[in-house]
Amino acid sequence: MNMHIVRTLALLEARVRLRRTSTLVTLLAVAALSWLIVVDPAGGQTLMAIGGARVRYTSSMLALGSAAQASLLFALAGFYLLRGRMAEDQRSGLGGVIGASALGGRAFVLGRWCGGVLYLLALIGASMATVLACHLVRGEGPVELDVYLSTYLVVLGPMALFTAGCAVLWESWAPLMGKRGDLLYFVVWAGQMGMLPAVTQGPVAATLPFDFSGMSAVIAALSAHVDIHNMSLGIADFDPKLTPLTLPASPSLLLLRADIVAMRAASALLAMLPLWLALGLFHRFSPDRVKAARAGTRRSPLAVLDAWLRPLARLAQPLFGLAARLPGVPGQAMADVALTLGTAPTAIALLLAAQLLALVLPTAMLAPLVLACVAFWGVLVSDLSTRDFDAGSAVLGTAVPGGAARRYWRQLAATLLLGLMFTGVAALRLLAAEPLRALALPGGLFALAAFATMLGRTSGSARTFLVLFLFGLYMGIQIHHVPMADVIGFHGTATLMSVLAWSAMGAVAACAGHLWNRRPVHPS
Amino acid sequence: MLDLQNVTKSFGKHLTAVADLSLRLEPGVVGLIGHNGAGKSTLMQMIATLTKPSSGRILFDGVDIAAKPEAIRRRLGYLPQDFGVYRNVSALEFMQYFAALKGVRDPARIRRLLELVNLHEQAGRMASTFSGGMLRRLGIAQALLNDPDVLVVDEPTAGLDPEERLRFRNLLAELGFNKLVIISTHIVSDVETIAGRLAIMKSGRLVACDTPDAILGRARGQVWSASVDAAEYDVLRATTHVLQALRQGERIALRIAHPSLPCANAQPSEPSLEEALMAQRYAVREAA
Repeated sequence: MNMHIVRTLALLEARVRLRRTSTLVTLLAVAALSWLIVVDPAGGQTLMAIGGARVRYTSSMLALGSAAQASLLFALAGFYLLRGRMAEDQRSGLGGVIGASALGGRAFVLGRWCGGVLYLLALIGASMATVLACHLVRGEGPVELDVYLSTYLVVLGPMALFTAGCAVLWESWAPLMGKRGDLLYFVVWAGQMGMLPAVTQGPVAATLPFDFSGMSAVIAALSAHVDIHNMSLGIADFDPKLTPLTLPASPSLLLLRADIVAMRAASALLAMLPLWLALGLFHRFSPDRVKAARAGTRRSPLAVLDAWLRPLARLAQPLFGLAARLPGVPGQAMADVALTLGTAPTAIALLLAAQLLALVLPTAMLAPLVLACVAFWGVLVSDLSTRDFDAGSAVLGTAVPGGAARRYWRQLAATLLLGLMFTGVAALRLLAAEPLRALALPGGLFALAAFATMLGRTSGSARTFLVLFLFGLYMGIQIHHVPMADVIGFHGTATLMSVLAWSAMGAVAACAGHLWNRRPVHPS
Repeated sequence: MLDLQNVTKSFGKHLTAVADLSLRLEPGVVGLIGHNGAGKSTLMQMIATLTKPSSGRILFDGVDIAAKPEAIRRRLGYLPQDFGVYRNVSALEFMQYFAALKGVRDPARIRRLLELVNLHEQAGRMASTFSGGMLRRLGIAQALLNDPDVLVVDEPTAGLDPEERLRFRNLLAELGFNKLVIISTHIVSDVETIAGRLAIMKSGRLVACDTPDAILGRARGQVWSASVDAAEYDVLRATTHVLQALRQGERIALRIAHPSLPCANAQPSEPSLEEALMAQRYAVREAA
C-alpha cells in the first residue's frame, strides 16, 4: 500500500470536511457546549459534585470532567458527522470514477479513515481549547497542559479510532448503509454506556476494553479516590456549605494508572477492528454491491414490513385530496404528511395501533406509549426537511406556490402534525388526569419539530437531528428529576417553566431556521 | 406576457451570469440557446422564481415577479434539467403530492396528464425505478399539473432516446399553441422545428432574438463550402471558423463560417440553423 497516497487522501478528506460551513457550525456548537458544561460554580452548579460537595476546578478535574463529557458526545455525534462521504461519492457519480481508477481499495478506505480521525481530533481540539479558555476564567489552579493532553489522549484516543472506523465500515459494507445503519450504531453506542455499571462493581472488568467511549476509564480512575455512587457529572447541583474536594494533581494517580492505561491500550487495539473489517469488505462502488445495498433496503426487516403493508399506503391518498382543498401552509403541510405516511406504510400501521392503545390502556401506561410513539416519530420525521434535497426534487418544490420560504414552514408544520397524530389521543386522555404532563407533550413536540426542521435545513443532513434526538431521548429516560430533561412529560417532572422554556427554544430554533432558509443561494 | 427589463444576475463581485438582458415574450415556443455557461439556466431560474435578479425587473402581465413571486407561481410549470424523485413513491403518489402543493383539486387531471405522457399504465410503479426518459415524462406531467400559462423547460431532451426526443418535442410544440413555452438548450435540433423565436445568449448577454427564418436569412452569404488540401486547411483553420471538416481522399471538404469569401475556391452555401447560429456567434466574437 502506497502510504503517500493514503496521506494525500487523508489530508484531502480532512480539508473537504473542515472547509464546509457545517463544520464551522459544528465547531461553534462544540465550543459553546464545552463552555456550558464547565459551569460557573457561583451560580450554584458545577461540573462535578460528590456527595453534594463540588470538586475544585483544577487541571486534573477539568480535564477529566470535560473529557468524560466529550467522550459521551463525540462517540455518538462523531459517527453521524463522519458518515455520508461515500454516499456523496455515489450520488455525484464520483464513486464510479474512483472504482474504475487504479487506486487501491485499501488505500482509499485507510485514507478516508485517517481523514475521519483528523476531523474528530480537530473537534476534540476545539473542545479542549474552549475548556482551557474556561480554565483561565473559572479555574482554581494553574493550567497544566500536559495533564489535559494525557487525559484527553487516554479517554478520547480509542474513541476517535473506533468512531472513525465504524463510520468507514458502515459505508463500506452494504448491509450497514442507510437509516437502519444509523439506528444500529446508536445501539452500539448505548451498549457501551450499558457497560458502565460494571465499573462501579469493583476492579476493572474484562469487558471494559470494549467501552471505546472512555467513560469507564474515567469512572475507574475516580473510583480509587471518591465515592462514585454519590457522584454527579455534568451540570450538577452542590451544597456550598460543604468543603470543596480536590482531585489528585498527578495524572499517574488518576488516569495514568497501569491498569487503566493497559485497558485503554487494549481498547485502542480493538478500536481498529471496524477499520480492518472495512478494508476487507469495501464495495469499491461496484454497482452489484451498491445496488445490492439499495435492494437490501427492501430486504431489511422494516422494508419487508413496508412491502407487506403497502396496501395501507392507500389510506394516505385521501390526505392528498384534503391537502389540495386546504389553502396555503395547512394544505401543503397536509401534502407532506400524506407523502410521509404514503412512503412508510409501517407508520400508518403504528399510527392506527397507537390510537387503539391510547384508547384502551390505563392512564398509568400512557406515558410509555407516548414515549414509544415519540421515538418512532423522531426517526420517521428526521429526514422530512431534507428529503427534497436528498431526492433531487428541491427545485420542483421551490417553483410551487409559496416557494422555498413556505416549504420550510410547511415541513415544520407537517413534522408537528405527525407528532400530534401519533400522540394526540393519549395527550387528550392525559389532559384530564395530569394536565401539566399533557401540556408538556405538545410543547415538547413543537420544540423537537422545530429543531428537526431547523437542523435538517442548516446542516443539509437528517443525521444531525437524528443523533441529537436519540442522544436526548436516551438521556431523557435516564434523568428522572430534572424538569428540563423531561421534554415530553415522560417522567411527569416537567414544570410549567420547563414547558415554556422548551416552547421558547422551539420558537427560536424555528426562526433561526427561517432566517437561514432566506439567505440567498445559487439555486444550481 | 413576460417582460424582462435590464435583468442582471451576479454572484459575488466577479461573476455575472446574466448581464443587462431585456426581452419581451408572448405565447408560443421560445428557444433559449447558448453554449454552456452562457447564462441560460440562471435566466430560467429567475423566470421560475428560484432566484431573484440582482437588478432589473421581470414583469409577468405587468407584475414584478421578484417582488411578488406568487403572481407567476400559480401559472408556472417548471421542469429543471435534473431532478429526482422520492424513494418508495409511485408515479401516481408523486403527482398527487405535487397536485396538493399546487392546489390542484381535480384528481382526473392527474390521470389525464399521465395518459398524455404515456405513463398511465405505470402509475402504480415506484417512480425511482423509472428510466431517464420516463422520469422526464413524469417531470413534464408534473409541470403541467396546474395548467400553466408559462412553461419553463431546461434541456428537455437530455438523456432521451431519439423516439422519446421526437415525442417530447411534439408535446412541447402543441403546448406552445396557446401558452408561453421557454425551452433552454444548447442542442439546436431540439428547437429548430418548433420554436417561433430563438433567443441567443452568449456570456450572459442576449446577442439576438429573432425567428429561425430571420436568423437563417442573416447567415446567408456567411456560410461557405470548399474542398482544400491539408496545407490550405491549416491556414483556414487559423483564420476562419470551420464548421465541419470531412476527409475525402487527399482533399478535405469544409464548411466554413466567415463574413467574406474565405478562400479562392469557396462557394456560398445554404446554412442549417445550427450553422447560422455558429456564424452569428462567430460574427459577434469578431465584432468584440
